[in-house]
Amino acid sequence: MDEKIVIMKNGKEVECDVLFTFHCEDNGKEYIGYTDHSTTPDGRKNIYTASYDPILGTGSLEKIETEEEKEMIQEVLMQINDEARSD
Amino acid sequence: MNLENALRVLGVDPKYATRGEVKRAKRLLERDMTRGDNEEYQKMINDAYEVVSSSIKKEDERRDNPIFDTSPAFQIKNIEEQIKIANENFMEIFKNELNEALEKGPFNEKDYEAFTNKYQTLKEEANKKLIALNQLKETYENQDTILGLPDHSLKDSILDSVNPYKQEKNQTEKQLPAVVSEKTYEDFMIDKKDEPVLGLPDHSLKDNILDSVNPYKQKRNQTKKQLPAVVSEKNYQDFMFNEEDRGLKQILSDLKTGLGLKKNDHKKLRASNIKVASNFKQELSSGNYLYNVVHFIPSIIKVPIQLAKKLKNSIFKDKEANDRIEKLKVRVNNLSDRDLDVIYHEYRSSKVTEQMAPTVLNDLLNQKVREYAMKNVETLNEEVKSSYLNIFSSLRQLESLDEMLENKNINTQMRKKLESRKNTLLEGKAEVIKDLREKQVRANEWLSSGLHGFEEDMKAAESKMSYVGKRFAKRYDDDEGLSQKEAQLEKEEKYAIRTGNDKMALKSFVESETLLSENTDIKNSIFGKRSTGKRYYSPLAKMLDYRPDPFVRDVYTSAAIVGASLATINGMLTAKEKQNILENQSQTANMHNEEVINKVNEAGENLQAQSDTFMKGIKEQSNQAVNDAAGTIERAALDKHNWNIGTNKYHTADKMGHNYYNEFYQNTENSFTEVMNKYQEGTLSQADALGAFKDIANKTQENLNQVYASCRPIMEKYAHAHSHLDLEGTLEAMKSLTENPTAIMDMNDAMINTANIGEELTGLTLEQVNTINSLPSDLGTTLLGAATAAALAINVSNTTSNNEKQGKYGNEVTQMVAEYASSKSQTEQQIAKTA
Repeated sequence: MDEKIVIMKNGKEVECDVLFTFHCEDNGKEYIGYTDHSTTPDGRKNIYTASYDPILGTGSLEKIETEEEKEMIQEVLMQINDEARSD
Repeated sequence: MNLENALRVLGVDPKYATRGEVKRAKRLLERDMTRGDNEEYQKMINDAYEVVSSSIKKEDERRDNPIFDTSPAFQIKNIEEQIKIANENFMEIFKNELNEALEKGPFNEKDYEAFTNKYQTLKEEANKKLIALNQLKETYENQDTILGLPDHSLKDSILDSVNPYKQEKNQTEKQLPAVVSEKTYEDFMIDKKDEPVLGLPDHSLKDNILDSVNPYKQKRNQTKKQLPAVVSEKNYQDFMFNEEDRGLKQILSDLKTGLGLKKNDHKKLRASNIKVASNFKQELSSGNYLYNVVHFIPSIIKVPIQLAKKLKNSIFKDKEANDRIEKLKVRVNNLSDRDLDVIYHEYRSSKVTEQMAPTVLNDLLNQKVREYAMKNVETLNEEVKSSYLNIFSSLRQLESLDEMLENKNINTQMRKKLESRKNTLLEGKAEVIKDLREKQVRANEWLSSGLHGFEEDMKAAESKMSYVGKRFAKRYDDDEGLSQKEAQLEKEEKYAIRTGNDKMALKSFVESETLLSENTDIKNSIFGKRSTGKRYYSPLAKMLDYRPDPFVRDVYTSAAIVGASLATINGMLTAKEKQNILENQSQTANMHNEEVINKVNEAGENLQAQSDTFMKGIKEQSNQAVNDAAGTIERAALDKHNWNIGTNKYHTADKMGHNYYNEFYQNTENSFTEVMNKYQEGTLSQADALGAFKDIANKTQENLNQVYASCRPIMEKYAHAHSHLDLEGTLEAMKSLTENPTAIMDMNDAMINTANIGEELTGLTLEQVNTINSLPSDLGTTLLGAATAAALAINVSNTTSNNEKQGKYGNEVTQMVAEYASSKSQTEQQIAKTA
């Protein structure tokens, strides 16, 4: 069973599927990607990403702000995609 | 008499007579013309006068007359002739004398004396002329070069001003040639042999060796002279490169070559431990989905704690960047000591800017060079330590020897041996101390190089976030007396080293070190050790940096003090609320307030003193836990036996007791929840909430104590009557609790006091606070957690003591000096007492 995360969206509780997590050695943070399966007008599925402190726990997520973090997440997604396709 | 004869009378060769001599001859003639003593003589004089008179009139003739030629060459020639004449005269006379001697026989003394007197004058005159000749030659030699003296026949030439023979009116004494000034001499006189004028070859020289190297000499059909051939690259590498020529740029080039380092390599964040949901992987593999990555945080309602468990592992591979950096790391780690030395000394300041090396390389080099520098520091520190041991062990022995020598009863032979031993111990101490001081300087230079290093040292010392025990160190107004005393001892030590005075050097060194040690004071504090002295004795070089003080880290990573308070709160609040509160606290904390720090440290000392209270309270709390468990067992046992044992009265009492206990517990829990809600709403501060918790806990405990006190006699009788029930533990617990009714309440009070201090200390890093969050969050264990945290504070204090013993916060040198100072003080006190 996959993990779920419950968010408040537009005043309603929405259950999201956790898609991936990873750890960054350089800053010691954990990163999470999840989706509520909503889509953009052009049909793309939304993936929400955030970071959290492994000690504080996932109860408190932090926004991805730096370009380096975005670049890293992008590369992780690329790798996951490559691995999934090669399996 | 003519002029020529008149000159001869004066002893002057008419050919070389000067104008002055001619005039004298004329005056002689005039004078002698009036004499009537000797007709023949008078006739000679008269003739000479006529000649002279007629000669003087002819100015032009005189001018052309070589007699009046005053050129240096002429003068030299004149003197040479005179010398020649003198020599010829001398030889002639000598020859005559020799012949006479051969005829008459050897000289007798009288003859010899006459001979000597006769020729001495001639000899002296010849010598004078020789000297004059040499002087003239030195002055006017080579006058025939192009830059030589002008023609002597020129009227009003520049030489007239330096012509020593130019006679002015009233000039009496013949002047020797004026010494030509150095400037004038060098201007005019150039040695033809040594230095061609203006570098041009002598015009008279043709086809000599100069032509062969003169690049400007043009010959017919001569092709253009070629410059030296450019050495081919191959040749250059073959014999130019040498290991000793390997410099900074070569080292950096070797590090970077072939890697293709990117500008952002240092910024690359690397992921690891990637876990992927299986559904997501399936989606991806299908290739049917496109995604939009969104980076924002919605409001979180519920999040699983152990998120990672269910997801599949994956390993992140950024092959290219990782490979680059890994290869670079290997190269940096393999740098030789020589290379590191070059980098340490040369790769700084403007050189770093000049090279514009990729940041990742600079980061790695920084780390590596730091390690290299520390290695050198450690080596020097070990050597310094060894010197200290040498000095202080010698010192102890010297003091023992002095004591023995004070004994008047020892014989001469023994005394000699002791003195000899003393001298052996003292010998070379000045050199040892000199070497020690130099090594201390070099070690500090390794740690703090250049102006930037100097500034960083000042900043670190000012912020006190530098080295052990100094973070909360006490500050003092300047003590001039102490500084002057230090300066005096330093001066004496340097003097003693310079003059090789071993005894004085040892004395000054030891006094200087003990003075530092005596003014260093380290006290226990809530943070471990804290410097409270006017000086901080550190004989071994230590790195100054901004990382947290290890004492502070030791305290808070053990979740002490602050953990005691925050653990209580943590279990009551939602994650988000808690995060905000913690962040606010970290922003508002002010750790630099001296009063606060002093207060904290006083409280810390109180905390240390209350360690027994904490241990007792913890023990009692443990007993209480035992009691609760035993109570459960008891009830189960009774239920099993269907409560058939015991009277109805007991039953009733027991039931009432349990009901009471349960109700009472529920009330307690409600009280806690109420306080928690108020805190969450913000109507209570953390300190107030903690105070409220303490009150609830104490009230609860008080009630419990009353129950235990009233039930204990009943339980004792019951236990004796029901030996098949293991109630011994329960009885012991109840007994302990009733005998120590305030133990847990005292512990709660102490915890709250320290927790209030903790509120003032919440400016600490979140990392330190985070450890609290790992504690269990349910109510019952929260209090136990708080008590545990407080106990941990005690453990931390013990840990820091152990670390000190292991040399983590001091070292054997400081301890050695401190022990010596202490023993010295004790000895002096004893001496004072016995005096």
